[in-house]
Amino acid sequence: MTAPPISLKGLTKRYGSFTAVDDVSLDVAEGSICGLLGPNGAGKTTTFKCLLGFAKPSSGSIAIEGAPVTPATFESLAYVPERAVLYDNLTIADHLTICRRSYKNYDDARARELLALFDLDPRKYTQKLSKGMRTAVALTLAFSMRPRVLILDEPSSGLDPVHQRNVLDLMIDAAANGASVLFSSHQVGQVERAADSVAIMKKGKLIVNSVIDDLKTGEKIIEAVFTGSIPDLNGLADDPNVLRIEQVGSTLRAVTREESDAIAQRIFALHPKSIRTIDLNLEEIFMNAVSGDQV
Amino acid sequence: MVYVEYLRVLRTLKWHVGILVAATLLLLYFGHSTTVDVNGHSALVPGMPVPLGALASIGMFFAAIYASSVGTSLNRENTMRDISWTKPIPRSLVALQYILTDVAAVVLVFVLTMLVVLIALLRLQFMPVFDATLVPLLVLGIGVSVMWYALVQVLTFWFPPGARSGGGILWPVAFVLLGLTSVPGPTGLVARVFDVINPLAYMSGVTFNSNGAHQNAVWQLPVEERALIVWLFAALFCAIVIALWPRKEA
Repeated sequence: MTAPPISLKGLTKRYGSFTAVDDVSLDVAEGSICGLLGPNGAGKTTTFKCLLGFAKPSSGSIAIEGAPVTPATFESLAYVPERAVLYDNLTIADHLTICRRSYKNYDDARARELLALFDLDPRKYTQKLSKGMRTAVALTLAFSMRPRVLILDEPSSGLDPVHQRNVLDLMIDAAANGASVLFSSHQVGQVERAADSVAIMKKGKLIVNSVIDDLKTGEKIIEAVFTGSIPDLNGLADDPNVLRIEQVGSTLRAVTREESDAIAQRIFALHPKSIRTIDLNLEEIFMNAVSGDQV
Repeated sequence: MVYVEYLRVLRTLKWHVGILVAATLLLLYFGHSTTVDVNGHSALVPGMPVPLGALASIGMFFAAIYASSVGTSLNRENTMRDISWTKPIPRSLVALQYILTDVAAVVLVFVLTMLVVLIALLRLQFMPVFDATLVPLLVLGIGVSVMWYALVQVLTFWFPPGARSGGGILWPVAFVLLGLTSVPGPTGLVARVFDVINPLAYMSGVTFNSNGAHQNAVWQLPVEERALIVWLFAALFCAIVIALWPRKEA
């Protein structure tokens, strides 16, 4: 069995007494796309910094394609930061030349395709580009070296909707060709569309790490409306399959992890006026994860 | 990544070389035989032999000014690590490539400046002398410029972008230290201690009188020894930068 192309084991990063990343373990398989979600300050970017060797982990281990990160790792690993870092006094063509001179796998034809896709003029100096265009340049540089591992920190930041879709298509295409992609985003819809697994971070901890389809089938909301006030729930909140109970007026919402039918039966026994089971989408799963203590 | 620094050096060189070319053209157009009086005496008269090596400090100053700007290259790179540290090349090699590129440019500026000095001597009808002191003084002059570059690197590479101004602040500090050296008492002593790493303290100042050119420096050591010391300091400072820059966390 080969090691996953991206593997974090017990990664912890502390800055003094502040723990930015707390015991994070995460694997991204070959040909897989993992979306990393989390509110601001959750530790996503610090995780990326450790993963790329920009910051030294306090503890834990990191492996890319089964080996620790060394300069040679970057022959097959491409990174796009949250804010595209480009040499302002150089043109886009200069940046492509840097890549051509740096990577064995650099594909000039692919670079030209990507320039056309993002409507970029290679003669332009990068200091004259908008934020979205700078992101597009960074993406062009990353994908033109045909990497086997892609780490993208909010890769559609500043892009218009058409180019956002292009970015997702590029990721899906790369994964279909065997690349492993780990990307962060604040747009849950993008993760839902492109990723096959999701990791959710909160306050440095990884609180969800699962295949998206498993999450969707596992978690449901049972919503019941009662006549008058909600009766005593007979210990429903203590059921290990009940993640959270919300009571608003005469409406009861129970977020369940598993055995939703059995939970629905228990609520039905309380004689509600109506009851229904709702499948969760990723946005609701994310909101549940980051608003509750634990999922 | 050396390509990045090569392009940056090329851009900054255009300015410095442009100034040198302009100075040369002005000399060729306006220059003529002249006598230079110092303290009421004719210190420089047409046909007088002038050792070219004695004017190495001119090349040194111009090259050191250039070194002040390129000496912040790794400080600049601190904000570019997302791009420079994600290339399949060891970070220490990136630092070494940057330093070698910069040093080559500093040496080039020194050589070009000395060429302009030579043209000036010829145009002003002095007699340039290529004596035995020429090579050691040129080695010293280049060494002081490179030490200046390395000092700027070592003072700025670890710090945020604002530290780039260190390259400029170093000039008045170095001159003040030189001036304080002659002050008696503890102040002069402290200045002399700091002058150990002050590149200008190793360079020869040149005075002229009717007997010709005379050298002086804070450190009254033979030129060869001073040249060796400045090159060793330059190498030490560069080694510190190459060793530590890759360890700095983003």
